[in-house]
Amino acid sequence: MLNRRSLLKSGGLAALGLILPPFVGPEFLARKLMAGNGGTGQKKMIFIFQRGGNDAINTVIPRGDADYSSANRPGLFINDLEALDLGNGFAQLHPSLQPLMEVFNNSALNGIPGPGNLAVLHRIGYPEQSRSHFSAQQFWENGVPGNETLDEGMLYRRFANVPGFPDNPFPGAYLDNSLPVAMRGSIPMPAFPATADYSFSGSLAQVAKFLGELPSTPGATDGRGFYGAYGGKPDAEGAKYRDILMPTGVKLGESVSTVQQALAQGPYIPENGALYPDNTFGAQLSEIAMLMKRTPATLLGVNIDGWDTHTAQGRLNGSHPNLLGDLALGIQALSRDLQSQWQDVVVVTVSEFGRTSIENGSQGTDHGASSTMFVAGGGVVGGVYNCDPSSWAPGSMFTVNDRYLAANTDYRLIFSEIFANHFGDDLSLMDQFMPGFDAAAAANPALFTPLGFLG
Amino acid sequence: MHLTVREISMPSCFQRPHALSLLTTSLFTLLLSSSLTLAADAPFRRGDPNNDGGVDISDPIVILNYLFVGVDSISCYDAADVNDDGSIDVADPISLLGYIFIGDLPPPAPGPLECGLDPTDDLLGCFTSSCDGTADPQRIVAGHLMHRIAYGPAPGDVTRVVDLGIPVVIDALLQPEVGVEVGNIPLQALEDQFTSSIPVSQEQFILRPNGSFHYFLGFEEPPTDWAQPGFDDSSWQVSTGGFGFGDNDDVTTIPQFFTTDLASIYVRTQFVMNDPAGLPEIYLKMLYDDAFVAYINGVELTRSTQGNGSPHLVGSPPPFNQYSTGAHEAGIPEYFLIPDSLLQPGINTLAIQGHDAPNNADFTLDPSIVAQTFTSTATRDVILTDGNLQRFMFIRGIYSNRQLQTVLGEFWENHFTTDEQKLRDLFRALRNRYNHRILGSNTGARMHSSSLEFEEYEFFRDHSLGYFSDLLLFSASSVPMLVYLDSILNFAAQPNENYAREILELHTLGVDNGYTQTDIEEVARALTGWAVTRIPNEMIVPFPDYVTNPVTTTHQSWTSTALLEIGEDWSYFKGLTEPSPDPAGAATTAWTEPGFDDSSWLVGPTGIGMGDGDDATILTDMQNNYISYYARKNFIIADPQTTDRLELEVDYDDGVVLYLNGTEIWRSQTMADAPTPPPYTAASGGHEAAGRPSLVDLDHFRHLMVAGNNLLAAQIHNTAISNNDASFLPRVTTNVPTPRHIDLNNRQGQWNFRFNPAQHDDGAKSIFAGTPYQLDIPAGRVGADGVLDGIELVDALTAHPSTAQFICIKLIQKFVSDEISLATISNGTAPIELQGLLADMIAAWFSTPEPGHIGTVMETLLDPIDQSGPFWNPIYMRTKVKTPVEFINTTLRALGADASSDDLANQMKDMGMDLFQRAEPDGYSEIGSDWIGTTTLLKRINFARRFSSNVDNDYRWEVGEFVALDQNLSAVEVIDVFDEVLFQNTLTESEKCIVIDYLETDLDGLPWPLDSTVPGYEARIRDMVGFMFSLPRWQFQ
Repeated sequence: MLNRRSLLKSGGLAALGLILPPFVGPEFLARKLMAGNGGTGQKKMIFIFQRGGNDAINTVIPRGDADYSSANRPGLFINDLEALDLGNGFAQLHPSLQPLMEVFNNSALNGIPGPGNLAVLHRIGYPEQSRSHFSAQQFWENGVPGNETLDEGMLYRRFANVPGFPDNPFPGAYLDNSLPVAMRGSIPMPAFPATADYSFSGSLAQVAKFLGELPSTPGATDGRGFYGAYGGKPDAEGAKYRDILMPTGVKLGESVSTVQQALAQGPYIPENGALYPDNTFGAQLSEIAMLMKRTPATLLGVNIDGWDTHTAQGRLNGSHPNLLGDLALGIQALSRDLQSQWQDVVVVTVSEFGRTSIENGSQGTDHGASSTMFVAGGGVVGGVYNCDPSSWAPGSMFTVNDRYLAANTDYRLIFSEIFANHFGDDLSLMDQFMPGFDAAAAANPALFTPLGFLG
Repeated sequence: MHLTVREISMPSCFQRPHALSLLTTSLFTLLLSSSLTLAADAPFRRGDPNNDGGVDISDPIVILNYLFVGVDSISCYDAADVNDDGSIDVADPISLLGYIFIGDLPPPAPGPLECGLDPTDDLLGCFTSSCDGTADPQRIVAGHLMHRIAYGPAPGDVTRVVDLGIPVVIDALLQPEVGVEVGNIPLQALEDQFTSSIPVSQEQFILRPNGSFHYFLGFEEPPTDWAQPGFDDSSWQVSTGGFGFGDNDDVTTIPQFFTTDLASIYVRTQFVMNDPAGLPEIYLKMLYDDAFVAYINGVELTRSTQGNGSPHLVGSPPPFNQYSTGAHEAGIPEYFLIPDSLLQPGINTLAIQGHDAPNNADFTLDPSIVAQTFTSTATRDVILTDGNLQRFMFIRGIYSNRQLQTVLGEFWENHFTTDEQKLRDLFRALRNRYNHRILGSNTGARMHSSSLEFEEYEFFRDHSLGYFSDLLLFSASSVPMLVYLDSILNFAAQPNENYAREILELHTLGVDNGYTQTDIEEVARALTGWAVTRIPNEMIVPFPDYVTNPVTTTHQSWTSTALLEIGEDWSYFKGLTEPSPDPAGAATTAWTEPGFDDSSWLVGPTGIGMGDGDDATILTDMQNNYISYYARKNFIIADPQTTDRLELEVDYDDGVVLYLNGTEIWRSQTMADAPTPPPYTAASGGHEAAGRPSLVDLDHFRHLMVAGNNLLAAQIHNTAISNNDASFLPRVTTNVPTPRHIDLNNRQGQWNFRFNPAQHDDGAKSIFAGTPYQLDIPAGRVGADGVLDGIELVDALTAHPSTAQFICIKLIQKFVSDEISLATISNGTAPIELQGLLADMIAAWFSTPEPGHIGTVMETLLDPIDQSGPFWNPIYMRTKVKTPVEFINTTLRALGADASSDDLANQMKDMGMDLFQRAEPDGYSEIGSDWIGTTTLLKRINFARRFSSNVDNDYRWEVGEFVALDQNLSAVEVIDVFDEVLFQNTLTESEKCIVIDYLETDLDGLPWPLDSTVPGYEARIRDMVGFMFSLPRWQFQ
């Protein structure tokens, strides 16, 4: 740690400023010496949060369950011929998810039919699911169902455990205005909605002066400018939030440098015919792919909002089908664009809950229980999990409160499989990443039976 | 205004070289490894280890405790090293005691009377020392108060608070006097600037929108007399206004405006009126994009103009190929007075030529004619755009004298958050009974949604210190909330739980804090029938009367009399051949003329058709024999000029074309592609007569009518000759509107709460069953009494202790500390003094005759007399992270800057807050950690530096108002000025050192002394102020 900081101290601002490429402050030069690789060969995750509660039953359709019917869903029911068949005699996809079929059917896009690289996971949840958006999102993110106050994320804990995390100028980022709970922790990670606006105003020299220098040691008073203030002595020792704000400022300076350096490599052109959705979500996915290729980031995430479909949800057309289409097109584009590192990547989608099995009076659905996840990546054993005749008993759609689809697998188990089988983390770490994991698994062995979607 | 420069202390960072020696650095490494964080060069007073600003007997005791008792309460080890030998040992307290009691030499510099740095390098350092800041405690407290119950202190505020005394200030803000804003010129000017006024009047349509027009596309010049009443326009095309292309606000689409170089369209229609002199003022009401010239009875009435008054079009008349000189958006109708002299009793002709702007794919021409009676000189305020709506958060935040209400207004607006966009989308999609959009354009819809959001915000602000039950009931019955959380879709047979869940979880009890899923379902049932309507001006009553005595009817309220009823006999003719072929055998419309001889036709009552049992006259031979049939009927209109609203209803299967006195007036969409007139063999698209007849506004065809007998004719078509179902079910009515009636296109009137008894579930409900707060609602509340369910619910929720708890917690989060939440209360980890405050506030909630008086609760929170509560505890000062709106307002307010700019809303959005536009119902967070992130910090810094540098003309401040520019103040003096303005003189020495270094360093990193005589002096100060806004300290309040 200290070596890195002292490196920054060497040489005057002016001397460094003169030799730097555009947008690059002295901080980046130091970083480049320390952590220069672009993250290839490292295992990575792209995390997509479908905020609002996705209607799981109209996403992955349990065709084999007679309760999926026009009687229960008069305005939303999708018939057998309209849906995309997944070949297990039970599950189908909403037709708007057509782009996913390429990933589902083809491993590594080699054109050879067979098990692809998309795991379709149904009935994912946890015991006594919350139907509050805000609590439920908190639990999915902090990894501790029932704990509404824990403001530290399970993804944070997993990635902060990687050696070198504190010194990594750009371990990952979220493409949004703010960092989600899933990635919050004592060492901040950056968040920004778009890379282009992620820069300090002013000329190179003005920015360099503004940023200044980190102090010789964290908390010391010999820094200068912005880095001196945020890396130095707090304005009030021990006062609330200084421990978050101050390192956030330092991370801001560092991550801006990294991002602007990545952008300085030139316009980003997606590879292999990747076609991202023509909207903010698509643009953010494209930026994620760019950052995966040009920075050391191993965790990048984004929201896709608007799943709270209480009214006029739409059957084949409308808000829900449009969102599904965007999601599917986005995953397909990532799979094409990131072929060069596809073996290292998992794309993971989550939503805080599913929705009522019966349609409401406004052609929509209300808050429910378990939901679906998609996991895509070169190491994924494609297939349908938890949506087949052997595991899906009749009546499943009304097991909870006579209204909701019950979970068959705990989301923490899904993440433990990703952490262990994709990232190679020891299973003993799961209780650290997701406090209470071991006890929950012991109490509910059925919910914690591995699905094996990563081999 | 110049602030008095307070006591100046030269920061010690200037007394020695900036950089530390390598040796020092490595020594600190060792210290770090033992997890001590030491300030390398913070100033201190030697001999004052307890950091109380002076040397007395308590100081040697602190050292002795450290050495012999093991209690480390030393905040500055350098200060405890009294003899400056690099270590703390027993010699230090002994020499200090000697100095205090027997007049020994004072400890070596620095101290004990002055602050300074340690001249010797050693392992010791300071966490904090009394040398940090030289602030006046009264001013610190005044600054704290203004940062919490106002958007920070404006210049002079701190002094004012100190002079007036805190109790007086708080009392004035808790109970603002009437007239407290009188004379607040900047506030009034800005509020006026961003509010638009429309006159209050009664508006009656003479020619409603979407009338029937003849039109001619301006690919060539029309005949010179085209605007004259006598012009024969029978060769022109006929369609429904408005005409245009682009942005989905037109009924008759003219794609040639986009696909060709078409510049103009000519339209004509006729309207009938009684004696114009006997009517109120008559106006042409226009929605247009981009330009027009209008003629009444052949005389030019008016033409559109640019903002500067010069006309869009030149020449009389402007030629067909002329483009408008300016663009104009069809958003909100504009009114043009028609003098009585241009009008005549009976039939009048309206002719308009509309022109596009060059290279413009958006065109609209949508005229109507209204009579207006101005009932008074009163006007009603509307907010035109969401941008203007958001501006009020800044205008008031910065200028209002009612600061606490403004802060609380924002708080309640956010607590009961609604999304202007969802409301706007609803208005955009809204259609009238003739299936035409009412506010087709984004601009028109946005005015309604922004104005309704503004009314909601106004109420929350005005009543922010009143009763919670009023706020809750207002929110529940406000149009934005009724739409936002789907209350308008909450029907007896099919409840929608969206609002029911959120009113419990987010607005009252708090998540999982005393309710069950059953309670949600019961609440949803209690609130069934809550709806929205539009009411005329005369029916507008204040809150809460419109809830307690609600409108139950719809805007469509008239007494209907049939002029022609279903079941009356019509003449009809089977389409085995043309009924009136021309010599070549082709179709004509002769059979639709009143004089046509139909004596050979069959006669039978309507409906006429076959199949599915909905007809009285059955065409048993139709299937596989003929595809269309014809019908004629005379009906009587006493006087076309005075008969009340005329409407034709027609249900049909599968297509129909209607004629009045020989002129086609309407055809179903299913016949849109058929020729004019359709031959007897023409097939229709599919349509089922399903009991929801299409409506035709016959008022548009009064010029075709005569007193006495009028002839209605129809041709009815099937989809195919083999089809086995056909129907024709027509009726004509005349309608007398009640005072309740309002046309949705009428700009007068207001969107309002409606209780719809037909959609209310009148069964018994039990909410919070089995708890002490059980609310039983009896079955059988009929009519408007059903609204009592919701009113009783609001009272029950307000009286529920969970609501008191949740709301008081949010108020503590907003005003004192976010270290409290439902979760930390339930698990007991909330700080004990905050738990105590919460208990006091809940007691205050229930201390008033009606529970939930926010002013009383706030007085308990603020504790203005004793000032002993947590609000005044220094540990909570500067611990709340500013939200974006707080950051912007405190920043501009601190320097007395302008607040007018729209750009501020964009800045707020960039920082992650988009007030009035949040999609999620939880509102923006009051918790600090939610506002700490790289982007939100970056955007704050970029904004503050942009502001301080005055590069943006929209928000400016003057250095000269703070710094005497002619006095060549030193860098330290300048910094002290802004230290006082922004921080009440609390910057630590180390912060000051960083600011001085910044101010006196050039872009090459070299020393650059501040000098007012050198150009750029002000710019340097501005840059430094931007840097001070960027400090961690300014992110807190």
